[in-house]
Amino acid sequence: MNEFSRDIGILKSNPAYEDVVATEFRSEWNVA
Amino acid sequence: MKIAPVPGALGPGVNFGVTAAKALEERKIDGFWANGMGAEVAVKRGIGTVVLDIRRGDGPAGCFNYTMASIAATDALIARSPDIAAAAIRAIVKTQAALRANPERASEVGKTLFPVSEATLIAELIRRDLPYYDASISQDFVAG
Repeated sequence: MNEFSRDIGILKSNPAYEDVVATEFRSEWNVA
Repeated sequence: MKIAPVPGALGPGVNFGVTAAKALEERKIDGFWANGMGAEVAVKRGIGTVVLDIRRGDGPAGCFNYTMASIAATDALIARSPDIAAAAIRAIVKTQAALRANPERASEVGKTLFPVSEATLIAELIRRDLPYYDASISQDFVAG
């Protein structure tokens, strides 16, 4: 997502995974 | 080549895949990038051919992440109502689990969303895509 967004000119920075994904909810999606 | 919105595909309650296949059949467009339903309808009706099936290895490896359904929310909503954000994730996880256990359950919902001919396809499409049902977002997806 980051690289693609930079390639098409809609993103100039490189946000970290934690800036994009709400990792505070990790326990919710790790439940199988 | 001109890349443009599929005619009639925007708006609430409109299924993009079904609409894209119809537009292809009516020769309003020459091709589309769509979901499994759109591709399946086009193939079953004999009006289209799958050129790239990205999830199954066609195209450069990085293209796998070009198809990524997701739910986005503002930081403000998450801060204000974390319970709502968590509930949305649980709903996705539980739905995926229910479909893994019984893909036919998709037909119950499909009947309320799709025309009859398309509704009969949904359970098989779900069964085919079950290996990709994962509520997490990978590091590769974000970086790529």
